[in-house]
Amino acid sequence: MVRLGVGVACVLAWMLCATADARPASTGFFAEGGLDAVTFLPSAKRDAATGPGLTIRVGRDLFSWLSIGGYVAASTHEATVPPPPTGQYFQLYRAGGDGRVSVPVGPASLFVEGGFGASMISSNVLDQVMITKPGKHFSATIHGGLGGEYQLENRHYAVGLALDGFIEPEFSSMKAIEARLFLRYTYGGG
Amino acid sequence: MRGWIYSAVWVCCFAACANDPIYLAPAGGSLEAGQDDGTGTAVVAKASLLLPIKPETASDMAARMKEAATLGMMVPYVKVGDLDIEIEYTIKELDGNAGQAFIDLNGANEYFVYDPSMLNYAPPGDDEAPPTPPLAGNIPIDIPAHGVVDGVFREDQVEEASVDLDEVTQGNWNPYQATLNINRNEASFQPVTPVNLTAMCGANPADPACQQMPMGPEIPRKAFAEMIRIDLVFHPSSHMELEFNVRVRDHRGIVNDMGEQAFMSDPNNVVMFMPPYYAN
Repeated sequence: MVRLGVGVACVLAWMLCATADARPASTGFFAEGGLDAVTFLPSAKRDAATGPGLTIRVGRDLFSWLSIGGYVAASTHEATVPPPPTGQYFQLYRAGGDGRVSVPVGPASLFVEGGFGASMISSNVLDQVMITKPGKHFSATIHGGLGGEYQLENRHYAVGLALDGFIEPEFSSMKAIEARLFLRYTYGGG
Repeated sequence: MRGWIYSAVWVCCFAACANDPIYLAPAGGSLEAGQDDGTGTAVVAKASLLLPIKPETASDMAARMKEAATLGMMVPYVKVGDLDIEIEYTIKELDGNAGQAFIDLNGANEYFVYDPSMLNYAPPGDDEAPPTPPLAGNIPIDIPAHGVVDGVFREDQVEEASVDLDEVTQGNWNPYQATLNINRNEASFQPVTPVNLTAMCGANPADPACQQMPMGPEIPRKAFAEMIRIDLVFHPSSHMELEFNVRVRDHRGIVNDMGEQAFMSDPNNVVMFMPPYYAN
Protein backbone atom coordinates (compact mmCIF):
# COMPACT_ATOMS: atom_id res chain seq x y z
CA MET A 1 0.00 0.00 0.00
CA VAL A 2 2.88 2.30 0.95
CA ARG A 3 4.67 1.42 -2.30
CA LEU A 4 1.55 2.26 -4.27
CA GLY A 5 1.26 5.60 -2.50
CA VAL A 6 4.89 6.42 -3.18
CA GLY A 7 4.43 5.43 -6.81
CA VAL A 8 1.41 7.65 -7.26
CA ALA A 9 3.22 10.53 -5.55
CA CYS A 10 6.18 10.11 -7.90
CA VAL A 11 3.97 10.09 -10.96
CA LEU A 12 2.15 13.20 -9.76
CA ALA A 13 5.44 14.94 -9.00
CA TRP A 14 6.71 14.05 -12.46
CA MET A 15 3.53 15.37 -14.06
CA LEU A 16 3.72 18.62 -12.13
CA CYS A 17 7.41 19.16 -12.78
CA ALA A 18 7.47 18.11 -16.42
CA THR A 19 7.47 20.84 -19.01
CA ALA A 20 4.44 20.53 -21.25
CA ASP A 21 5.08 20.36 -24.93
CA ALA A 22 4.04 23.41 -26.85
CA ARG A 23 0.41 22.94 -27.76
CA PRO A 24 0.38 22.08 -31.46
CA ALA A 25 -2.69 24.12 -32.11
CA SER A 26 -3.60 27.11 -34.16
CA THR A 27 -4.80 30.15 -32.30
CA GLY A 28 -6.97 32.90 -33.66
CA PHE A 29 -10.60 33.04 -34.69
CA PHE A 30 -12.40 29.77 -34.17
CA ALA A 31 -15.77 28.14 -34.67
CA GLU A 32 -17.21 25.22 -32.77
CA GLY A 33 -20.18 23.04 -33.52
CA GLY A 34 -21.50 20.81 -30.81
CA LEU A 35 -24.11 18.15 -30.23
CA ASP A 36 -25.66 18.40 -26.80
CA ALA A 37 -27.72 16.51 -24.31
CA VAL A 38 -29.48 18.88 -21.92
CA THR A 39 -30.99 17.56 -18.73
CA PHE A 40 -32.77 19.59 -16.10
CA LEU A 41 -32.07 19.43 -12.42
CA PRO A 42 -34.73 19.20 -9.72
CA SER A 43 -37.32 20.55 -9.44
CA ALA A 44 -37.73 21.24 -13.17
CA LYS A 45 -36.56 17.70 -13.94
CA ARG A 46 -39.99 16.19 -13.28
CA ASP A 47 -41.64 18.57 -15.77
CA ALA A 48 -39.13 18.55 -18.63
CA ALA A 49 -37.28 15.58 -20.06
CA THR A 50 -33.67 15.36 -21.18
CA GLY A 51 -33.39 16.47 -24.78
CA PRO A 52 -30.94 16.77 -27.64
CA GLY A 53 -29.50 20.08 -28.72
CA LEU A 54 -27.15 21.87 -31.01
CA THR A 55 -24.60 24.55 -30.12
CA ILE A 56 -22.54 26.85 -32.29
CA ARG A 57 -19.79 28.89 -30.73
CA VAL A 58 -17.53 31.38 -32.44
CA GLY A 59 -14.81 33.47 -30.88
CA ARG A 60 -11.18 34.39 -30.74
CA ASP A 61 -8.21 33.10 -28.84
CA LEU A 62 -6.70 36.11 -27.10
CA PHE A 63 -3.83 33.95 -25.88
CA SER A 64 -3.15 30.27 -26.19
CA TRP A 65 -4.79 29.84 -22.79
CA LEU A 66 -7.67 32.34 -22.99
CA SER A 67 -10.43 32.71 -25.50
CA ILE A 68 -13.64 34.68 -25.64
CA GLY A 69 -16.64 33.93 -27.79
CA GLY A 70 -20.32 34.00 -28.41
CA TYR A 71 -22.67 31.07 -28.69
CA VAL A 72 -26.13 30.12 -29.84
CA ALA A 73 -27.73 26.91 -28.69
CA ALA A 74 -31.05 25.19 -29.12
CA SER A 75 -32.42 22.12 -27.41
CA THR A 76 -35.76 20.37 -27.56
CA HIS A 77 -37.50 18.69 -24.65
CA GLU A 78 -40.65 16.78 -23.91
CA ALA A 79 -42.83 18.53 -21.38
CA THR A 80 -43.56 15.89 -18.77
CA VAL A 81 -46.06 18.06 -16.90
CA PRO A 82 -49.10 16.50 -15.23
CA PRO A 83 -51.61 15.71 -18.02
CA PRO A 84 -53.19 17.27 -19.88
CA PRO A 85 -51.25 17.99 -22.06
CA THR A 86 -49.31 14.86 -22.88
CA GLY A 87 -46.58 14.27 -25.45
CA GLN A 88 -45.89 17.95 -26.01
CA TYR A 89 -42.46 19.39 -26.71
CA PHE A 90 -40.84 22.76 -26.19
CA GLN A 91 -37.60 24.26 -27.37
CA LEU A 92 -35.12 26.27 -25.38
CA TYR A 93 -33.00 28.73 -27.36
CA ARG A 94 -29.95 30.27 -25.75
CA ALA A 95 -27.43 32.86 -26.89
CA GLY A 96 -24.71 34.76 -25.13
CA GLY A 97 -21.05 35.39 -24.63
CA ASP A 98 -18.49 33.50 -22.62
CA GLY A 99 -14.84 33.09 -21.84
CA ARG A 100 -12.70 29.98 -21.63
CA VAL A 101 -9.45 29.41 -19.79
CA SER A 102 -7.44 26.42 -20.98
CA VAL A 103 -4.59 24.49 -19.48
CA PRO A 104 -2.63 22.51 -22.09
CA VAL A 105 -1.64 18.97 -21.25
CA GLY A 106 0.24 17.62 -24.25
CA PRO A 107 -2.02 17.39 -27.25
CA ALA A 108 -5.01 17.85 -25.02
CA SER A 109 -6.16 20.69 -22.86
CA LEU A 110 -8.48 21.09 -19.98
CA PHE A 111 -10.62 24.17 -19.70
CA VAL A 112 -13.10 25.98 -17.58
CA GLU A 113 -15.63 28.31 -19.16
CA GLY A 114 -18.43 30.59 -18.11
CA GLY A 115 -20.59 33.40 -19.35
CA PHE A 116 -23.90 35.21 -19.57
CA GLY A 117 -26.64 35.36 -22.10
CA ALA A 118 -30.34 35.19 -22.72
CA SER A 119 -32.79 32.36 -23.31
CA MET A 120 -36.12 32.01 -25.00
CA ILE A 121 -38.59 29.22 -24.43
CA SER A 122 -40.81 28.37 -27.37
CA SER A 123 -44.13 27.84 -25.62
CA ASN A 124 -45.97 28.32 -22.38
CA VAL A 125 -46.42 24.63 -21.69
CA LEU A 126 -44.51 25.02 -18.40
CA ASP A 127 -46.90 27.76 -17.18
CA GLN A 128 -49.09 25.19 -15.48
CA VAL A 129 -46.20 24.06 -13.27
CA MET A 130 -45.22 27.68 -12.58
CA ILE A 131 -41.79 27.39 -14.19
CA THR A 132 -42.70 30.07 -16.72
CA LYS A 133 -45.15 32.91 -16.19
CA PRO A 134 -47.94 33.92 -18.60
CA GLY A 135 -46.56 35.97 -21.46
CA LYS A 136 -42.94 35.59 -20.34
CA HIS A 137 -40.76 33.76 -22.80
CA PHE A 138 -37.33 35.23 -22.07
CA SER A 139 -34.82 34.85 -19.30
CA ALA A 140 -31.27 35.79 -18.57
CA THR A 141 -28.89 32.83 -18.56
CA ILE A 142 -25.79 32.27 -16.50
CA HIS A 143 -23.64 29.31 -17.36
CA GLY A 144 -20.35 27.76 -16.44
CA GLY A 145 -18.58 24.48 -16.74
CA LEU A 146 -15.49 22.54 -17.64
CA GLY A 147 -14.27 20.19 -20.26
CA GLY A 148 -11.43 18.79 -22.27
CA GLU A 149 -10.23 19.23 -25.80
CA TYR A 150 -7.99 17.03 -27.92
CA GLN A 151 -5.95 18.50 -30.73
CA LEU A 152 -6.04 16.44 -33.92
CA GLU A 153 -3.07 15.92 -36.24
CA ASN A 154 -4.28 18.82 -38.33
CA ARG A 155 -3.60 21.73 -36.01
CA HIS A 156 -6.75 23.57 -37.09
CA TYR A 157 -9.04 20.90 -35.70
CA ALA A 158 -9.84 19.76 -32.21
CA VAL A 159 -12.58 17.66 -30.65
CA GLY A 160 -13.81 18.08 -27.15
CA LEU A 161 -16.28 17.28 -24.49
CA ALA A 162 -17.76 19.92 -22.21
CA LEU A 163 -20.03 19.75 -19.23
CA ASP A 164 -21.81 23.00 -18.49
CA GLY A 165 -24.44 23.98 -16.03
CA PHE A 166 -26.78 26.86 -16.59
CA ILE A 167 -29.47 28.64 -14.67
CA GLU A 168 -32.47 30.60 -15.94
CA PRO A 169 -33.41 33.13 -13.24
CA GLU A 170 -36.69 34.24 -14.88
CA PHE A 171 -37.86 30.66 -15.36
CA SER A 172 -38.17 29.99 -11.64
CA SER A 173 -34.38 29.62 -11.52
CA MET A 174 -34.60 26.47 -13.60
CA LYS A 175 -31.22 24.72 -13.66
CA ALA A 176 -29.85 22.34 -16.22
CA ILE A 177 -26.72 20.43 -17.17
CA GLU A 178 -25.53 20.36 -20.74
CA ALA A 179 -23.12 17.68 -21.97
CA ARG A 180 -21.61 18.75 -25.27
CA LEU A 181 -19.48 16.90 -27.80
CA PHE A 182 -17.91 19.42 -30.11
CA LEU A 183 -15.64 19.88 -33.07
CA ARG A 184 -13.55 23.03 -33.17
CA TYR A 185 -11.93 24.66 -36.15
CA THR A 186 -9.41 27.44 -35.69
CA TYR A 187 -8.73 29.77 -38.55
CA GLY A 188 -5.25 31.09 -39.27
CA GLY A 189 -1.95 29.71 -38.19
CA GLY A 190 -1.01 31.91 -35.28
CA MET B 1 -16.82 23.23 -42.11
CA ARG B 2 -18.34 26.44 -43.41
CA GLY B 3 -21.19 24.52 -45.02
CA TRP B 4 -21.81 22.67 -41.80
CA ILE B 5 -22.10 25.95 -39.89
CA TYR B 6 -24.50 27.42 -42.47
CA SER B 7 -26.64 24.27 -42.26
CA ALA B 8 -26.76 24.44 -38.49
CA VAL B 9 -27.74 28.13 -38.56
CA TRP B 10 -30.54 27.39 -41.00
CA VAL B 11 -31.81 24.54 -38.84
CA CYS B 12 -31.90 26.90 -35.84
CA CYS B 13 -33.71 29.59 -37.86
CA PHE B 14 -36.35 27.17 -39.11
CA ALA B 15 -36.84 25.77 -35.64
CA ALA B 16 -37.29 29.25 -34.20
CA CYS B 17 -39.76 30.30 -36.90
CA ALA B 18 -42.12 27.35 -36.53
CA ASN B 19 -45.62 27.96 -35.20
CA ASP B 20 -45.02 27.55 -31.53
CA PRO B 21 -48.17 26.53 -29.71
CA ILE B 22 -49.75 28.34 -26.82
CA TYR B 23 -51.49 26.26 -24.17
CA LEU B 24 -54.67 27.56 -22.59
CA ALA B 25 -56.06 26.11 -19.40
CA PRO B 26 -59.61 26.85 -18.28
CA ALA B 27 -59.86 29.23 -15.37
CA GLY B 28 -62.24 26.95 -13.48
CA GLY B 29 -59.84 24.00 -13.30
CA SER B 30 -61.26 20.49 -13.53
CA LEU B 31 -64.87 19.40 -14.03
CA GLU B 32 -66.54 16.75 -11.88
CA ALA B 33 -69.65 15.01 -13.07
CA GLY B 34 -71.50 11.73 -12.92
CA GLN B 35 -72.60 11.98 -9.29
CA ASP B 36 -76.24 11.37 -8.50
CA ASP B 37 -77.96 14.75 -8.31
CA GLY B 38 -80.51 13.40 -5.83
CA THR B 39 -83.16 12.65 -8.42
CA GLY B 40 -81.44 9.62 -9.89
CA THR B 41 -79.90 11.59 -12.71
CA ALA B 42 -76.16 11.88 -13.19
CA VAL B 43 -74.73 15.39 -12.97
CA VAL B 44 -73.54 16.84 -16.27
CA ALA B 45 -70.68 19.35 -16.24
CA LYS B 46 -70.03 22.10 -18.77
CA ALA B 47 -66.98 24.24 -19.37
CA SER B 48 -66.31 27.09 -21.71
CA LEU B 49 -63.02 28.61 -22.80
CA LEU B 50 -62.91 31.83 -24.82
CA LEU B 51 -59.71 32.17 -26.81
CA PRO B 52 -57.71 35.32 -25.90
CA ILE B 53 -57.82 36.99 -29.30
CA LYS B 54 -56.11 40.39 -29.60
CA PRO B 55 -58.11 43.36 -30.93
CA GLU B 56 -58.04 43.74 -34.68
CA THR B 57 -55.39 46.12 -35.96
CA ALA B 58 -56.33 48.93 -38.33
CA SER B 59 -54.44 47.30 -41.18
CA ASP B 60 -56.14 43.94 -40.56
CA MET B 61 -59.51 45.64 -40.49
CA ALA B 62 -58.79 47.49 -43.74
CA ALA B 63 -57.75 44.25 -45.42
CA ARG B 64 -60.86 42.51 -44.11
CA MET B 65 -63.15 45.30 -45.33
CA LYS B 66 -61.50 45.18 -48.72
CA GLU B 67 -62.03 41.42 -48.85
CA ALA B 68 -65.65 41.84 -47.76
CA ALA B 69 -66.26 44.40 -50.49
CA THR B 70 -64.75 42.06 -53.07
CA LEU B 71 -66.80 39.06 -51.95
CA GLY B 72 -69.96 41.02 -51.25
CA MET B 73 -70.44 39.47 -47.83
CA MET B 74 -69.21 39.62 -44.24
CA VAL B 75 -65.69 38.36 -43.66
CA PRO B 76 -64.84 37.37 -40.09
CA TYR B 77 -61.83 38.65 -38.21
CA VAL B 78 -60.82 35.11 -37.19
CA LYS B 79 -61.10 32.86 -40.21
CA VAL B 80 -60.77 29.10 -40.56
CA GLY B 81 -57.08 28.43 -41.03
CA ASP B 82 -55.90 31.33 -38.88
CA LEU B 83 -55.62 29.06 -35.86
CA ASP B 84 -55.01 25.36 -35.41
CA ILE B 85 -56.75 24.27 -32.25
CA GLU B 86 -56.35 21.02 -30.37
CA ILE B 87 -58.10 20.03 -27.15
CA GLU B 88 -56.40 17.55 -24.88
CA TYR B 89 -58.18 16.01 -21.94
CA THR B 90 -57.70 13.57 -19.11
CA ILE B 91 -60.56 11.71 -17.47
CA LYS B 92 -60.17 10.21 -14.00
CA GLU B 93 -62.62 7.75 -12.52
CA LEU B 94 -63.12 8.69 -8.88
CA ASP B 95 -65.42 6.28 -7.06
CA GLY B 96 -64.14 2.85 -8.12
CA ASN B 97 -66.84 1.96 -10.65
CA ALA B 98 -65.81 1.36 -14.22
CA GLY B 99 -67.97 3.33 -16.57
CA GLN B 100 -68.24 5.30 -19.74
CA ALA B 101 -67.69 8.97 -20.31
CA PHE B 102 -68.91 11.18 -23.12
CA ILE B 103 -67.41 14.53 -24.08
CA ASP B 104 -69.32 16.77 -26.47
CA LEU B 105 -67.47 19.52 -28.28
CA ASN B 106 -69.47 22.64 -29.06
CA GLY B 107 -68.50 26.26 -29.29
CA ALA B 108 -68.89 29.60 -30.91
CA ASN B 109 -67.44 31.65 -33.70
CA GLU B 110 -67.64 35.43 -33.70
CA TYR B 111 -71.14 35.34 -35.20
CA PHE B 112 -72.99 32.62 -33.28
CA VAL B 113 -72.90 30.20 -30.36
CA TYR B 114 -73.88 26.64 -31.20
CA ASP B 115 -75.57 24.95 -28.24
CA PRO B 116 -77.44 21.79 -29.30
CA SER B 117 -79.40 21.73 -26.04
CA MET B 118 -81.18 24.89 -27.25
CA LEU B 119 -81.90 23.58 -30.74
CA ASN B 120 -84.73 21.24 -31.58
CA TYR B 121 -84.92 19.79 -35.06
CA ALA B 122 -87.49 17.13 -34.15
CA PRO B 123 -90.86 17.42 -35.88
CA PRO B 124 -93.71 18.29 -33.50
CA GLY B 125 -94.89 15.27 -31.56
CA ASP B 126 -91.95 13.07 -32.53
CA ASP B 127 -90.67 11.83 -29.18
CA GLU B 128 -88.22 9.39 -30.72
CA ALA B 129 -86.27 11.86 -32.79
CA PRO B 130 -82.59 11.87 -31.83
CA PRO B 131 -81.32 14.92 -29.97
CA THR B 132 -79.46 17.62 -31.85
CA PRO B 133 -75.85 16.44 -32.16
CA PRO B 134 -72.76 18.20 -30.83
CA LEU B 135 -70.18 19.44 -33.30
CA ALA B 136 -67.81 16.60 -32.34
CA GLY B 137 -67.38 13.95 -29.68
CA ASN B 138 -70.30 12.18 -28.02
CA ILE B 139 -68.37 8.93 -28.41
CA PRO B 140 -68.34 6.49 -25.46
CA ILE B 141 -64.96 6.29 -23.76
CA ASP B 142 -64.44 3.28 -21.47
CA ILE B 143 -62.90 4.29 -18.16
CA PRO B 144 -61.71 1.53 -15.80
CA ALA B 145 -62.32 1.76 -12.06
CA HIS B 146 -59.90 4.34 -10.64
CA GLY B 147 -58.51 4.61 -14.16
CA VAL B 148 -57.06 7.59 -15.97
CA VAL B 149 -57.61 7.99 -19.71
CA ASP B 150 -56.10 10.70 -21.93
CA GLY B 151 -57.69 11.81 -25.16
CA VAL B 152 -57.63 14.55 -27.71
CA PHE B 153 -59.77 16.42 -30.20
CA ARG B 154 -57.19 16.77 -32.94
CA GLU B 155 -56.59 19.92 -34.99
CA ASP B 156 -58.40 18.45 -37.99
CA GLN B 157 -61.40 17.51 -35.84
CA VAL B 158 -61.66 21.02 -34.42
CA GLU B 159 -61.29 22.51 -37.90
CA GLU B 160 -64.11 20.25 -39.07
CA ALA B 161 -66.17 21.40 -36.08
CA SER B 162 -65.48 25.05 -37.00
CA VAL B 163 -66.67 24.55 -40.56
CA ASP B 164 -69.73 22.60 -39.35
CA LEU B 165 -70.54 25.38 -36.89
CA ASP B 166 -70.44 27.93 -39.70
CA GLU B 167 -72.53 25.74 -42.00
CA VAL B 168 -75.21 25.26 -39.35
CA THR B 169 -75.34 28.87 -38.20
CA GLN B 170 -74.57 30.97 -41.28
CA GLY B 171 -75.77 28.36 -43.75
CA ASN B 172 -78.84 27.01 -41.92
CA TRP B 173 -77.63 23.49 -42.59
CA ASN B 174 -79.24 20.70 -40.63
CA PRO B 175 -76.69 19.79 -37.90
CA TYR B 176 -76.81 16.13 -38.92
CA GLN B 177 -75.95 17.03 -42.48
CA ALA B 178 -73.10 19.25 -41.31
CA THR B 179 -71.60 16.95 -38.68
CA LEU B 180 -71.95 13.63 -40.49
CA ASN B 181 -70.09 14.83 -43.57
CA ILE B 182 -66.42 15.76 -43.82
CA ASN B 183 -66.49 19.37 -44.97
CA ARG B 184 -63.31 20.85 -43.58
CA ASN B 185 -61.55 21.02 -46.94
CA GLU B 186 -64.45 22.48 -48.86
CA ALA B 187 -63.84 25.64 -50.84
CA SER B 188 -67.32 27.01 -50.17
CA PHE B 189 -70.79 26.09 -48.93
CA GLN B 190 -74.24 27.10 -50.00
CA PRO B 191 -76.56 28.67 -47.40
CA VAL B 192 -80.08 27.34 -47.51
CA THR B 193 -83.48 28.33 -46.19
CA PRO B 194 -84.13 27.37 -42.55
CA VAL B 195 -85.30 23.85 -41.77
CA ASN B 196 -89.10 23.73 -41.98
CA LEU B 197 -90.32 22.34 -38.68
CA THR B 198 -94.06 22.56 -39.25
CA ALA B 199 -96.30 19.59 -38.49
CA MET B 200 -97.00 19.19 -42.20
CA CYS B 201 -93.29 18.76 -42.94
CA GLY B 202 -92.93 16.46 -39.95
CA ALA B 203 -95.60 14.19 -41.42
CA ASN B 204 -94.24 14.38 -44.95
CA PRO B 205 -90.62 15.47 -45.01
CA ALA B 206 -90.29 14.49 -48.69
CA ASP B 207 -92.82 17.14 -49.71
CA PRO B 208 -90.95 19.53 -52.09
CA ALA B 209 -92.38 22.46 -50.17
CA CYS B 210 -90.50 21.21 -47.10
CA GLN B 211 -87.09 21.00 -48.76
CA GLN B 212 -84.42 23.52 -47.91
CA MET B 213 -83.71 25.76 -50.90
CA PRO B 214 -80.49 27.62 -51.74
CA MET B 215 -80.51 31.11 -50.32
CA GLY B 216 -78.05 33.84 -51.28
CA PRO B 217 -74.54 33.44 -52.66
CA GLU B 218 -72.17 30.63 -51.72
CA ILE B 219 -69.92 31.44 -48.79
CA PRO B 220 -66.28 31.02 -49.86
CA ARG B 221 -63.61 29.62 -47.58
CA LYS B 222 -62.14 33.09 -47.11
CA ALA B 223 -65.31 33.93 -45.18
CA PHE B 224 -65.50 30.78 -43.00
CA ALA B 225 -65.46 31.83 -39.35
CA GLU B 226 -63.09 30.00 -37.00
CA MET B 227 -64.22 28.78 -33.62
CA ILE B 228 -63.14 31.29 -30.97
CA ARG B 229 -64.86 29.68 -27.99
CA ILE B 230 -64.60 26.06 -26.93
CA ASP B 231 -67.54 24.55 -25.04
CA LEU B 232 -67.26 21.07 -23.58
CA VAL B 233 -70.06 19.02 -22.07
CA PHE B 234 -68.94 16.16 -19.86
CA HIS B 235 -71.44 13.44 -19.04
CA PRO B 236 -69.98 10.28 -17.54
CA SER B 237 -71.92 7.30 -16.24
CA SER B 238 -70.23 7.41 -12.83
CA HIS B 239 -68.37 9.95 -10.74
CA MET B 240 -65.45 11.18 -12.84
CA GLU B 241 -63.23 14.21 -13.26
CA LEU B 242 -62.28 15.90 -16.51
CA GLU B 243 -59.27 18.14 -16.98
CA PHE B 244 -58.63 19.74 -20.32
CA ASN B 245 -56.21 22.04 -22.03
CA VAL B 246 -56.51 23.86 -25.35
CA ARG B 247 -53.46 24.05 -27.59
CA VAL B 248 -53.49 26.77 -30.23
CA ARG B 249 -51.06 27.29 -33.09
CA ASP B 250 -51.51 30.85 -34.17
CA HIS B 251 -50.65 31.52 -37.81
CA ARG B 252 -51.47 35.25 -37.72
CA GLY B 253 -50.18 36.37 -34.36
CA ILE B 254 -53.65 37.24 -33.09
CA VAL B 255 -53.64 35.25 -29.86
CA ASN B 256 -52.57 37.11 -26.74
CA ASP B 257 -49.40 35.55 -25.28
CA MET B 258 -50.77 35.94 -21.79
CA GLY B 259 -53.31 33.20 -22.45
CA GLU B 260 -56.44 33.13 -20.31
CA GLN B 261 -54.65 35.41 -17.86
CA ALA B 262 -55.05 38.19 -20.45
CA PHE B 263 -58.76 38.58 -19.62
CA MET B 264 -57.75 39.71 -16.12
CA SER B 265 -54.33 41.29 -16.44
CA ASP B 266 -54.40 42.64 -20.00
CA PRO B 267 -58.11 43.27 -20.72
CA ASN B 268 -57.45 46.09 -23.21
CA ASN B 269 -55.52 43.73 -25.41
CA VAL B 270 -58.09 41.01 -25.76
CA VAL B 271 -61.52 40.86 -27.39
CA MET B 272 -64.55 39.81 -25.36
CA PHE B 273 -66.58 38.19 -28.14
CA MET B 274 -70.23 37.88 -27.14
CA PRO B 275 -72.01 36.28 -30.09
CA PRO B 276 -75.72 35.47 -29.84
CA TYR B 277 -76.99 31.90 -29.49
CA TYR B 278 -78.04 30.41 -32.79
CA ALA B 279 -81.75 29.55 -32.95
CA ASN B 280 -83.30 27.49 -35.71
